[in-house]
Amino acid sequence: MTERALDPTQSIGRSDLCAAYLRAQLGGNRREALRVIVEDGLERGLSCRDLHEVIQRAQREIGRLWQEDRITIAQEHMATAISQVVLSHVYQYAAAAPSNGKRVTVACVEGELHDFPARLVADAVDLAGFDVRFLGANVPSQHLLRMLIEEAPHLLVLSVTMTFNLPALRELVALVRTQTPAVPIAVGGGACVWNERLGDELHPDIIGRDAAELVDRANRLLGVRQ
Amino acid sequence: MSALSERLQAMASRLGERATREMYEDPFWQARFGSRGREMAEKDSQFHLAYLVQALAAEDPSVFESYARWLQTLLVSRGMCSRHIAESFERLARAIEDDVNDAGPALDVLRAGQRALVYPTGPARELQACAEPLAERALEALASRQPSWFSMASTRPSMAAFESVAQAEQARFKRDVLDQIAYLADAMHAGRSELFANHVVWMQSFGVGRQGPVTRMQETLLALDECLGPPAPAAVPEPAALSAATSPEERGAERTSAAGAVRGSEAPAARASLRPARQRPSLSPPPPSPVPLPVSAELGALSRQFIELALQRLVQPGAVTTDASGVATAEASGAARTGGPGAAGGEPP
Repeated sequence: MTERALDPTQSIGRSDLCAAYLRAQLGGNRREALRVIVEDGLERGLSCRDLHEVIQRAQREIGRLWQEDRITIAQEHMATAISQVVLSHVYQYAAAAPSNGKRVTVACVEGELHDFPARLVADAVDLAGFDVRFLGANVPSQHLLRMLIEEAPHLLVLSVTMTFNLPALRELVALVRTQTPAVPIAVGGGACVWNERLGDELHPDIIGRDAAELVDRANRLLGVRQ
Repeated sequence: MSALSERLQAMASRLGERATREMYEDPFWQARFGSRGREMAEKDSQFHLAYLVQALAAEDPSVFESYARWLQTLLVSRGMCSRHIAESFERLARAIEDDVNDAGPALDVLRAGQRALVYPTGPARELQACAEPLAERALEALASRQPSWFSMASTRPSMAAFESVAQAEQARFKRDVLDQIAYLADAMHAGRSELFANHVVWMQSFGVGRQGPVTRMQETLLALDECLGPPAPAAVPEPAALSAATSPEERGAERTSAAGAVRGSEAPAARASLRPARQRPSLSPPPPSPVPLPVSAELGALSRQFIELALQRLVQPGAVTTDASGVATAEASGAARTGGPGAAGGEPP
Protein backbone atom coordinates (compact mmCIF):
# COMPACT_ATOMS: atom_id res chain seq x y z
CA MET A 1 0.00 0.00 0.00
CA THR A 2 1.35 3.40 -0.88
CA GLU A 3 0.44 6.74 0.54
CA ARG A 4 -1.89 8.66 -1.72
CA ALA A 5 -2.50 12.33 -2.03
CA LEU A 6 -5.19 13.44 0.36
CA ASP A 7 -8.52 13.83 -1.34
CA PRO A 8 -10.04 16.96 0.22
CA THR A 9 -13.54 15.71 -0.51
CA GLN A 10 -12.91 12.63 1.52
CA SER A 11 -10.51 13.90 4.08
CA ILE A 12 -11.12 13.46 7.75
CA GLY A 13 -9.42 15.68 10.27
CA ARG A 14 -7.04 14.17 12.74
CA SER A 15 -9.26 15.35 15.60
CA ASP A 16 -12.28 13.61 14.11
CA LEU A 17 -10.23 10.54 13.43
CA CYS A 18 -8.96 10.56 16.99
CA ALA A 19 -12.50 10.90 18.36
CA ALA A 20 -13.74 8.03 16.20
CA TYR A 21 -10.77 5.89 17.17
CA LEU A 22 -11.30 6.66 20.84
CA ARG A 23 -14.95 5.68 20.59
CA ALA A 24 -13.99 2.37 19.05
CA GLN A 25 -11.39 1.78 21.74
CA LEU A 26 -13.80 2.52 24.58
CA GLY A 27 -16.41 0.32 22.94
CA GLY A 28 -13.90 -2.52 22.79
CA ASN A 29 -14.40 -2.70 19.05
CA ARG A 30 -11.11 -3.79 17.55
CA ARG A 31 -12.40 -4.10 14.01
CA GLU A 32 -13.88 -0.62 14.08
CA ALA A 33 -10.67 0.78 15.54
CA LEU A 34 -8.73 -0.86 12.73
CA ARG A 35 -11.20 0.39 10.14
CA VAL A 36 -10.91 3.95 11.43
CA ILE A 37 -7.13 3.97 11.27
CA VAL A 38 -6.66 1.92 8.10
CA GLU A 39 -9.66 2.96 5.97
CA ASP A 40 -10.39 6.45 7.22
CA GLY A 41 -6.76 7.27 7.85
CA LEU A 42 -4.21 5.32 5.89
CA GLU A 43 -6.24 4.73 2.74
CA ARG A 44 -7.22 8.37 2.57
CA GLY A 45 -3.63 9.44 2.53
CA LEU A 46 -2.69 10.17 6.10
CA SER A 47 0.94 9.38 6.80
CA CYS A 48 2.14 6.95 9.43
CA ARG A 49 3.36 9.98 11.37
CA ASP A 50 -0.17 11.41 11.37
CA LEU A 51 -1.62 8.10 12.44
CA HIS A 52 0.93 7.60 15.18
CA GLU A 53 -0.01 11.03 16.44
CA VAL A 54 -3.70 10.06 16.42
CA ILE A 55 -2.94 6.90 18.38
CA GLN A 56 -0.72 8.76 20.83
CA ARG A 57 -3.40 11.37 21.42
CA ALA A 58 -6.02 8.69 21.95
CA GLN A 59 -3.78 6.88 24.42
CA ARG A 60 -3.21 10.09 26.37
CA GLU A 61 -6.95 10.65 26.48
CA ILE A 62 -7.46 7.10 27.71
CA GLY A 63 -4.94 7.82 30.43
CA ARG A 64 -6.76 10.99 31.42
CA LEU A 65 -10.10 9.22 31.53
CA TRP A 66 -8.68 6.57 33.82
CA GLN A 67 -7.01 9.17 36.01
CA GLU A 68 -10.32 10.95 36.41
CA ASP A 69 -12.06 7.69 37.25
CA ARG A 70 -14.27 7.85 34.18
CA ILE A 71 -13.12 4.46 32.91
CA THR A 72 -11.85 1.43 34.77
CA ILE A 73 -8.39 -0.01 34.60
CA ALA A 74 -9.88 -2.94 32.67
CA GLN A 75 -11.18 -0.55 30.03
CA GLU A 76 -7.81 1.17 29.92
CA HIS A 77 -6.05 -2.15 29.36
CA MET A 78 -8.56 -3.09 26.67
CA ALA A 79 -8.01 0.22 24.88
CA THR A 80 -4.25 -0.16 25.01
CA ALA A 81 -4.46 -3.72 23.71
CA ILE A 82 -6.48 -2.41 20.76
CA SER A 83 -3.81 0.15 20.06
CA GLN A 84 -1.20 -2.61 20.03
CA VAL A 85 -3.15 -4.37 17.27
CA VAL A 86 -3.67 -1.17 15.36
CA LEU A 87 0.00 -0.25 15.57
CA SER A 88 0.83 -3.58 13.94
CA HIS A 89 -1.43 -2.77 11.00
CA VAL A 90 0.00 0.71 10.57
CA TYR A 91 3.46 -0.82 10.64
CA GLN A 92 2.49 -3.39 8.06
CA TYR A 93 0.60 -1.19 5.63
CA ALA A 94 2.08 2.30 5.93
CA ALA A 95 4.61 3.37 3.36
CA ALA A 96 8.12 3.07 4.73
CA ALA A 97 10.89 5.42 3.73
CA PRO A 98 13.79 3.81 1.85
CA SER A 99 16.40 2.26 4.09
CA ASN A 100 18.99 4.77 5.22
CA GLY A 101 21.39 2.11 6.45
CA LYS A 102 21.38 3.28 10.07
CA ARG A 103 20.78 0.75 12.83
CA VAL A 104 18.77 1.74 15.90
CA THR A 105 18.15 -0.26 19.06
CA VAL A 106 15.02 0.60 21.05
CA ALA A 107 14.44 -0.73 24.56
CA CYS A 108 12.70 -0.04 27.86
CA VAL A 109 15.11 0.18 30.75
CA GLU A 110 15.29 -2.60 33.31
CA GLY A 111 12.16 -2.60 35.47
CA GLU A 112 10.09 -0.58 33.02
CA LEU A 113 6.96 -2.52 32.09
CA HIS A 114 5.24 0.09 29.94
CA ASP A 115 6.40 -0.80 26.47
CA PHE A 116 3.72 0.88 24.36
CA PRO A 117 5.52 4.23 23.98
CA ALA A 118 8.76 2.42 23.08
CA ARG A 119 6.97 0.25 20.56
CA LEU A 120 5.40 3.26 18.89
CA VAL A 121 8.82 4.93 18.68
CA ALA A 122 10.36 1.76 17.27
CA ASP A 123 7.70 1.62 14.55
CA ALA A 124 8.07 5.32 13.74
CA VAL A 125 11.85 5.07 13.49
CA ASP A 126 11.57 1.90 11.41
CA LEU A 127 9.07 3.46 8.98
CA ALA A 128 11.37 6.47 8.69
CA GLY A 129 13.96 4.21 7.08
CA PHE A 130 16.05 3.03 10.02
CA ASP A 131 16.94 -0.59 10.66
CA VAL A 132 15.36 -1.17 14.08
CA ARG A 133 15.91 -3.74 16.81
CA PHE A 134 13.02 -3.43 19.26
CA LEU A 135 13.67 -5.23 22.54
CA GLY A 136 10.42 -4.46 24.40
CA ALA A 137 9.85 -4.00 28.13
CA ASN A 138 12.15 -4.51 31.10
CA VAL A 139 15.39 -5.26 29.30
CA PRO A 140 18.14 -6.39 31.69
CA SER A 141 20.94 -3.85 31.46
CA GLN A 142 23.78 -6.33 31.16
CA HIS A 143 22.09 -8.19 28.31
CA LEU A 144 21.33 -4.98 26.49
CA LEU A 145 24.92 -3.94 26.88
CA ARG A 146 26.12 -7.23 25.39
CA MET A 147 23.89 -6.69 22.37
CA LEU A 148 25.22 -3.17 21.94
CA ILE A 149 28.78 -4.46 21.97
CA GLU A 150 27.93 -7.13 19.40
CA GLU A 151 25.84 -5.02 17.06
CA ALA A 152 27.25 -1.53 17.53
CA PRO A 153 24.09 0.32 16.48
CA HIS A 154 24.19 3.90 15.28
CA LEU A 155 21.75 4.92 18.02
CA LEU A 156 20.35 3.54 21.25
CA VAL A 157 16.84 4.69 22.23
CA LEU A 158 15.88 4.14 25.88
CA SER A 159 12.33 4.52 27.12
CA VAL A 160 11.38 5.11 30.74
CA THR A 161 7.85 5.86 31.82
CA MET A 162 7.93 5.59 35.59
CA THR A 163 10.06 8.05 37.52
CA PHE A 164 11.14 5.34 39.94
CA ASN A 165 12.84 3.56 37.03
CA LEU A 166 15.18 6.49 36.48
CA PRO A 167 17.94 4.92 38.59
CA ALA A 168 18.03 2.09 36.03
CA LEU A 169 18.31 4.68 33.26
CA ARG A 170 21.11 6.53 35.02
CA GLU A 171 23.01 3.31 35.62
CA LEU A 172 22.55 2.11 32.05
CA VAL A 173 23.61 5.41 30.51
CA ALA A 174 26.79 5.32 32.59
CA LEU A 175 27.49 1.74 31.51
CA VAL A 176 26.90 2.46 27.83
CA ARG A 177 29.20 5.48 27.95
CA THR A 178 31.90 3.40 29.54
CA GLN A 179 31.64 0.27 27.46
CA THR A 180 30.25 1.42 24.11
CA PRO A 181 31.11 5.13 24.08
CA ALA A 182 30.59 5.42 20.34
CA VAL A 183 26.88 4.65 20.59
CA PRO A 184 24.79 7.83 20.91
CA ILE A 185 21.93 7.70 23.37
CA ALA A 186 18.36 8.97 23.00
CA VAL A 187 15.99 8.98 25.97
CA GLY A 188 12.26 9.49 26.08
CA GLY A 189 9.05 8.56 27.84
CA GLY A 190 6.81 9.96 30.51
CA ALA A 191 9.50 10.08 33.18
CA CYS A 192 11.44 12.55 31.03
CA VAL A 193 8.41 14.87 31.03
CA TRP A 194 8.16 14.85 34.82
CA ASN A 195 11.93 15.23 35.26
CA GLU A 196 12.73 18.37 33.38
CA ARG A 197 16.34 18.48 34.52
CA LEU A 198 17.09 15.03 33.19
CA GLY A 199 18.61 16.46 30.02
CA ASP A 200 20.99 18.64 32.01
CA GLU A 201 21.86 15.74 34.26
CA LEU A 202 22.45 12.96 31.74
CA HIS A 203 23.26 14.98 28.62
CA PRO A 204 21.76 12.42 26.23
CA ASP A 205 22.37 12.99 22.55
CA ILE A 206 18.61 13.19 22.05
CA ILE A 207 15.75 13.73 24.44
CA GLY A 208 12.39 13.47 22.70
CA ARG A 209 8.87 14.19 23.81
CA ASP A 210 7.20 12.06 21.17
CA ALA A 211 7.95 9.69 18.32
CA ALA A 212 7.94 12.33 15.59
CA GLU A 213 10.35 14.56 17.47
CA LEU A 214 12.65 11.64 18.10
CA VAL A 215 12.67 10.66 14.42
CA ASP A 216 13.50 14.22 13.37
CA ARG A 217 16.34 14.47 15.86
CA ALA A 218 17.68 11.05 14.95
CA ASN A 219 17.77 12.10 11.29
CA ARG A 220 19.71 15.24 12.19
CA LEU A 221 22.06 13.50 14.60
CA LEU A 222 22.94 10.74 12.15
CA GLY A 223 23.05 12.99 9.11
CA VAL A 224 20.19 11.28 7.32
CA ARG A 225 18.93 13.25 4.35
CA GLN A 226 15.14 13.25 4.24
CA MET B 1 21.81 9.12 44.35
CA SER B 2 22.22 11.27 47.43
CA ALA B 3 22.93 9.69 50.81
CA LEU B 4 19.61 10.93 52.16
CA SER B 5 17.61 9.41 49.33
CA GLU B 6 19.39 6.10 49.84
CA ARG B 7 18.62 6.14 53.55
CA LEU B 8 14.98 6.93 52.84
CA GLN B 9 14.78 4.13 50.32
CA ALA B 10 16.19 1.70 52.85
CA MET B 11 13.67 2.82 55.48
CA ALA B 12 10.71 3.25 53.13
CA SER B 13 8.72 0.31 54.37
CA ARG B 14 8.94 1.34 58.03
CA LEU B 15 8.29 5.02 57.35
CA GLY B 16 5.25 4.35 55.17
CA GLU B 17 3.82 1.86 57.64
CA ARG B 18 4.16 4.34 60.49
CA ALA B 19 2.61 7.24 58.57
CA THR B 20 -0.38 5.12 57.55
CA ARG B 21 -0.84 3.58 61.01
CA GLU B 22 -0.87 6.98 62.67
CA MET B 23 -3.31 8.31 60.11
CA TYR B 24 -5.69 5.45 60.74
CA GLU B 25 -5.58 6.00 64.49
CA ASP B 26 -8.13 8.67 63.65
CA PRO B 27 -11.40 6.70 63.24
CA PHE B 28 -12.44 9.03 60.42
CA TRP B 29 -10.09 7.31 58.01
CA GLN B 30 -11.28 3.78 58.71
CA ALA B 31 -14.91 4.90 58.53
CA ARG B 32 -14.40 6.91 55.36
CA PHE B 33 -12.18 4.62 53.34
CA GLY B 34 -12.39 1.24 55.08
CA SER B 35 -9.87 -1.58 55.10
CA ARG B 36 -9.29 -1.41 51.40
CA GLY B 37 -8.59 2.29 51.74
CA ARG B 38 -6.01 1.53 54.39
CA GLU B 39 -4.39 -1.09 52.21
CA MET B 40 -4.21 1.41 49.37
CA ALA B 41 -2.94 4.14 51.68
CA GLU B 42 -0.03 1.90 52.66
CA LYS B 43 0.81 1.34 49.00
CA ASP B 44 0.40 5.04 48.31
CA SER B 45 2.85 5.92 51.04
CA GLN B 46 5.42 3.77 49.23
CA PHE B 47 4.70 5.65 46.02
CA HIS B 48 5.08 8.95 47.88
CA LEU B 49 8.46 7.78 49.13
CA ALA B 50 9.53 6.48 45.72
CA TYR B 51 8.88 9.87 44.15
CA LEU B 52 10.43 11.68 47.09
CA VAL B 53 13.57 9.57 46.69
CA GLN B 54 13.73 10.39 42.98
CA ALA B 55 13.21 14.09 43.60
CA LEU B 56 16.11 14.04 46.05
CA ALA B 57 18.28 12.00 43.69
CA ALA B 58 17.62 14.49 40.90
CA GLU B 59 17.86 17.44 43.33
CA ASP B 60 14.65 18.61 41.74
CA PRO B 61 11.50 19.12 43.86
CA SER B 62 9.44 19.50 40.68
CA VAL B 63 9.59 15.72 40.29
CA PHE B 64 7.55 15.36 43.46
CA GLU B 65 5.38 18.36 42.61
CA SER B 66 4.40 16.77 39.29
CA TYR B 67 3.58 13.57 41.12
CA ALA B 68 1.50 15.46 43.71
CA ARG B 69 -0.58 17.17 41.03
CA TRP B 70 -1.05 13.92 39.14
CA LEU B 71 -2.06 12.14 42.33
CA GLN B 72 -4.45 14.96 43.21
CA THR B 73 -6.53 14.38 40.07
CA LEU B 74 -6.41 10.63 40.58
CA LEU B 75 -7.53 10.61 44.21
CA VAL B 76 -9.94 13.53 44.08
CA SER B 77 -11.76 11.64 41.32
CA ARG B 78 -12.01 8.68 43.69
CA GLY B 79 -13.45 10.35 46.75
CA MET B 80 -10.55 12.00 48.54
CA CYS B 81 -9.90 15.70 48.91
CA SER B 82 -6.65 17.62 48.48
CA ARG B 83 -6.50 18.17 52.22
CA HIS B 84 -6.33 14.42 52.77
CA ILE B 85 -3.42 14.15 50.35
CA ALA B 86 -1.67 17.03 52.08
CA GLU B 87 -2.22 15.24 55.39
CA SER B 88 -0.65 12.06 54.08
CA PHE B 89 2.42 14.06 52.98
CA GLU B 90 2.51 15.78 56.37
CA ARG B 91 2.36 12.50 58.28
CA LEU B 92 5.16 11.13 56.15
CA ALA B 93 7.18 14.27 56.88
CA ARG B 94 6.66 13.80 60.61
CA ALA B 95 7.72 10.16 60.45
CA ILE B 96 10.84 11.13 58.51
CA GLU B 97 11.63 14.00 60.84
CA ASP B 98 11.48 11.67 63.84
CA ASP B 99 13.37 8.72 62.37
CA VAL B 100 15.86 10.11 59.86
CA ASN B 101 18.82 12.32 60.66
CA ASP B 102 19.47 15.46 58.63
CA ALA B 103 16.25 15.00 56.69
CA GLY B 104 15.71 18.69 55.96
CA PRO B 105 15.83 18.38 52.16
CA ALA B 106 13.23 15.59 52.26
CA LEU B 107 10.92 17.69 54.39
CA ASP B 108 11.37 20.58 51.95
CA VAL B 109 10.34 18.36 49.04
CA LEU B 110 7.26 17.10 50.89
CA ARG B 111 6.26 20.67 51.72
CA ALA B 112 6.74 21.58 48.05
CA GLY B 113 4.38 18.72 47.26
CA GLN B 114 1.80 20.16 49.63
CA ARG B 115 2.09 23.57 47.97
CA ALA B 116 1.68 21.94 44.56
CA LEU B 117 -1.81 20.88 45.63
CA VAL B 118 -2.90 24.53 45.45
CA TYR B 119 -4.68 25.04 42.17
CA PRO B 120 -3.00 27.56 39.86
CA THR B 121 -6.00 29.73 39.07
CA GLY B 122 -9.75 30.12 39.30
CA PRO B 123 -12.40 29.89 42.00
CA ALA B 124 -10.99 26.65 43.38
CA ARG B 125 -7.72 28.41 44.12
CA GLU B 126 -9.57 31.35 45.65
CA LEU B 127 -11.51 28.99 47.89
CA GLN B 128 -8.35 27.16 48.94
CA ALA B 129 -6.73 30.49 49.77
CA CYS B 130 -9.55 31.60 52.06
CA ALA B 131 -10.26 28.19 53.61
CA GLU B 132 -9.03 29.01 57.10
CA PRO B 133 -10.91 32.30 57.66
CA LEU B 134 -13.93 30.84 55.89
CA ALA B 135 -13.99 27.87 58.26
CA GLU B 136 -13.73 30.21 61.26
CA ARG B 137 -16.62 32.32 60.02
CA ALA B 138 -18.69 29.29 59.10
CA LEU B 139 -18.29 28.00 62.64
CA GLU B 140 -19.38 31.37 63.97
CA ALA B 141 -22.37 31.28 61.65
CA LEU B 142 -23.13 27.76 62.81
CA ALA B 143 -22.93 28.88 66.43
CA SER B 144 -25.36 31.62 65.60
CA ARG B 145 -27.70 29.24 63.81
CA GLN B 146 -27.45 26.48 66.41
CA PRO B 147 -26.16 27.91 69.70
CA SER B 148 -26.94 24.76 71.65
CA TRP B 149 -24.40 22.80 69.63
CA PHE B 150 -21.64 24.96 71.01
CA SER B 151 -23.00 25.82 74.42
CA MET B 152 -21.28 23.23 76.56
CA ALA B 153 -18.07 25.17 77.11
CA SER B 154 -19.75 28.47 77.82
CA THR B 155 -22.46 27.11 80.08
CA ARG B 156 -20.16 24.89 82.12
CA PRO B 157 -17.00 26.94 82.47
CA SER B 158 -16.14 25.46 85.83
CA MET B 159 -16.08 21.94 84.54
CA ALA B 160 -12.69 21.51 82.96
CA ALA B 161 -13.47 18.10 81.56
CA PHE B 162 -16.55 19.34 79.80
CA GLU B 163 -14.62 22.31 78.52
CA SER B 164 -11.91 20.15 77.10
CA VAL B 165 -14.50 17.87 75.49
CA ALA B 166 -16.17 20.91 74.02
CA GLN B 167 -12.88 22.22 72.71
CA ALA B 168 -12.11 18.88 71.14
CA GLU B 169 -15.56 18.82 69.60
CA GLN B 170 -15.05 22.31 68.26
CA ALA B 171 -11.69 21.33 66.79
CA ARG B 172 -13.32 18.33 65.14
CA PHE B 173 -16.08 20.54 63.83
CA LYS B 174 -13.50 22.86 62.34
CA ARG B 175 -11.59 20.02 60.75
CA ASP B 176 -14.79 18.72 59.22
CA VAL B 177 -15.57 22.16 57.83
CA LEU B 178 -12.06 22.50 56.41
CA ASP B 179 -12.50 19.11 54.76
CA GLN B 180 -15.80 20.23 53.29
CA ILE B 181 -14.20 23.37 51.92
CA ALA B 182 -11.43 21.26 50.41
CA TYR B 183 -13.95 18.91 48.82
CA LEU B 184 -15.84 21.90 47.49
CA ALA B 185 -12.69 23.41 45.96
CA ASP B 186 -11.69 20.08 44.40
CA ALA B 187 -15.16 19.54 42.97
CA MET B 188 -15.11 23.05 41.50
CA HIS B 189 -11.73 22.50 39.91
CA ALA B 190 -12.84 19.18 38.44
CA GLY B 191 -16.18 20.65 37.39
CA ARG B 192 -17.88 17.71 39.12
CA SER B 193 -20.40 18.71 41.76
CA GLU B 194 -21.03 15.08 42.69
CA LEU B 195 -17.57 14.83 44.24
CA PHE B 196 -18.64 17.37 46.86
CA ALA B 197 -22.16 15.98 47.24
CA ASN B 198 -20.87 12.43 47.73
CA HIS B 199 -18.72 13.56 50.63
CA VAL B 200 -21.54 15.58 52.15
CA VAL B 201 -23.90 12.62 52.04
CA TRP B 202 -21.28 10.37 53.58
CA MET B 203 -20.49 12.89 56.32
CA GLN B 204 -24.16 13.06 57.16
CA SER B 205 -24.33 9.33 57.81
CA PHE B 206 -21.00 9.41 59.64
CA GLY B 207 -22.19 12.25 61.84
CA VAL B 208 -25.40 10.46 62.68
CA GLY B 209 -23.39 7.34 63.46
CA ARG B 210 -21.31 9.22 66.02
CA GLN B 211 -24.38 10.71 67.67
CA GLY B 212 -24.05 14.14 66.09
CA PRO B 213 -27.03 16.36 65.32
CA VAL B 214 -29.07 14.95 62.47
CA THR B 215 -29.10 18.27 60.64
CA ARG B 216 -25.44 19.03 61.17
CA MET B 217 -24.45 18.76 57.53
CA GLN B 218 -27.37 20.83 56.29
CA GLU B 219 -26.70 23.53 58.84
CA THR B 220 -23.00 23.47 58.07
CA LEU B 221 -23.66 23.89 54.37
CA LEU B 222 -26.05 26.73 55.01
CA ALA B 223 -23.51 28.36 57.32
CA LEU B 224 -20.83 28.02 54.66
CA ASP B 225 -23.13 29.59 52.13
CA GLU B 226 -23.88 32.47 54.47
CA CYS B 227 -20.19 33.22 54.77
CA LEU B 228 -19.26 33.15 51.10
CA GLY B 229 -19.48 36.67 49.87
CA PRO B 230 -22.16 39.29 50.12
CA PRO B 231 -25.48 37.51 50.51
CA ALA B 232 -28.33 38.06 48.12
CA PRO B 233 -31.06 40.36 49.50
CA ALA B 234 -33.41 37.59 50.45
CA ALA B 235 -30.74 35.41 51.84
CA VAL B 236 -30.29 36.52 55.41
CA PRO B 237 -31.24 35.31 57.83
CA GLU B 238 -33.21 32.68 55.98
CA PRO B 239 -31.14 30.22 53.93
CA ALA B 240 -33.30 30.90 50.90
CA ALA B 241 -30.12 32.63 49.75
CA LEU B 242 -29.21 29.54 47.85
CA SER B 243 -31.96 30.09 45.34
CA ALA B 244 -30.53 33.50 44.44
CA ALA B 245 -27.89 31.92 42.28
CA THR B 246 -30.21 29.60 40.44
CA SER B 247 -32.06 30.19 37.22
CA PRO B 248 -35.82 30.82 37.19
CA GLU B 249 -36.36 27.33 35.84
CA GLU B 250 -34.31 25.89 38.64
CA ARG B 251 -36.15 27.99 41.15
CA GLY B 252 -39.43 26.65 39.80
CA ALA B 253 -38.22 23.14 40.17
CA GLU B 254 -36.82 23.99 43.54
CA ARG B 255 -40.21 24.74 44.99
CA THR B 256 -41.06 21.12 44.68
CA SER B 257 -37.64 19.87 45.61
CA ALA B 258 -36.57 18.45 48.88
CA ALA B 259 -33.90 21.12 49.07
CA GLY B 260 -36.65 23.69 49.11
CA ALA B 261 -37.98 21.97 52.17
CA VAL B 262 -34.60 22.24 53.83
CA ARG B 263 -34.60 25.95 53.27
CA GLY B 264 -38.02 26.33 54.79
CA SER B 265 -39.78 27.59 51.68
CA GLU B 266 -42.21 24.72 51.38
CA ALA B 267 -43.48 21.52 52.90
CA PRO B 268 -43.65 22.21 56.60
CA ALA B 269 -43.78 18.54 57.47
CA ALA B 270 -40.57 17.84 55.65
CA ARG B 271 -38.98 20.95 57.11
CA ALA B 272 -39.87 19.78 60.58
CA SER B 273 -38.11 16.50 60.02
CA LEU B 274 -35.02 17.86 58.29
CA ARG B 275 -34.35 21.09 60.00
CA PRO B 276 -34.83 21.37 63.74
CA ALA B 277 -35.93 24.68 65.15
CA ARG B 278 -33.11 26.80 66.47
CA GLN B 279 -32.52 26.29 70.12
CA ARG B 280 -31.20 29.29 71.98
CA PRO B 281 -30.21 29.33 75.62
CA SER B 282 -32.59 31.59 77.46
CA LEU B 283 -29.94 33.35 79.56
CA SER B 284 -27.44 34.31 76.89
CA PRO B 285 -28.05 35.99 73.57
CA PRO B 286 -27.08 34.12 70.43
CA PRO B 287 -23.72 34.98 68.97
CA PRO B 288 -24.00 37.53 66.19
CA SER B 289 -23.95 36.31 62.63
CA PRO B 290 -20.47 36.67 61.17
CA VAL B 291 -19.66 39.07 58.41
CA PRO B 292 -19.49 37.16 55.13
CA LEU B 293 -16.07 36.68 53.62
CA PRO B 294 -15.85 38.74 50.45
CA VAL B 295 -15.25 36.49 47.48
CA SER B 296 -15.42 36.88 43.74
CA ALA B 297 -18.80 36.67 42.04
CA GLU B 298 -17.60 33.56 40.23
CA LEU B 299 -16.73 31.74 43.43
CA GLY B 300 -19.91 32.92 45.11
CA ALA B 301 -22.13 31.67 42.31
CA LEU B 302 -20.31 28.39 41.86
CA SER B 303 -20.21 27.59 45.56
CA ARG B 304 -23.93 28.24 45.87
CA GLN B 305 -24.63 26.01 42.93
CA PHE B 306 -22.56 23.17 44.37
CA ILE B 307 -23.95 23.63 47.88
CA GLU B 308 -27.47 23.64 46.48
CA LEU B 309 -26.87 20.37 44.66
CA ALA B 310 -25.37 18.83 47.78
CA LEU B 311 -28.37 19.91 49.82
CA GLN B 312 -30.64 18.30 47.28
CA ARG B 313 -28.69 15.07 47.60
CA LEU B 314 -28.95 15.20 51.38
CA VAL B 315 -32.70 15.17 51.39
CA GLN B 316 -33.17 12.58 48.70
CA PRO B 317 -34.83 9.49 50.13
CA GLY B 318 -32.23 7.21 51.58
CA ALA B 319 -29.40 9.68 51.20
CA VAL B 320 -28.90 10.19 54.90
CA THR B 321 -29.01 6.56 55.80
CA THR B 322 -27.08 5.33 52.81
CA ASP B 323 -23.85 3.67 53.73
CA ALA B 324 -21.94 6.00 51.53
CA SER B 325 -18.59 4.71 52.64
CA GLY B 326 -18.81 2.50 49.62
CA VAL B 327 -18.54 5.57 47.46
CA ALA B 328 -15.01 5.96 48.49
CA THR B 329 -14.03 2.66 49.98
CA ALA B 330 -14.05 0.68 46.82
CA GLU B 331 -11.91 3.01 44.81
CA ALA B 332 -10.34 5.57 47.08
CA SER B 333 -6.68 6.04 47.27
CA GLY B 334 -3.91 4.40 45.52
CA ALA B 335 -1.74 4.91 42.56
CA ALA B 336 -0.84 1.37 43.46
CA ARG B 337 -4.25 0.03 42.61
CA THR B 338 -3.43 -0.19 38.97
CA GLY B 339 0.27 -0.30 38.83
CA GLY B 340 0.87 3.36 39.39
CA PRO B 341 1.10 6.59 37.51
CA GLY B 342 2.37 5.05 34.31
CA ALA B 343 -0.68 2.99 33.59
CA ALA B 344 -2.92 3.92 30.71
CA GLY B 345 -0.68 3.88 27.76
CA GLY B 346 2.36 4.29 29.87
CA GLU B 347 2.35 8.02 29.74
CA PRO B 348 1.78 10.15 32.77
CA PRO B 349 0.28 13.49 31.84
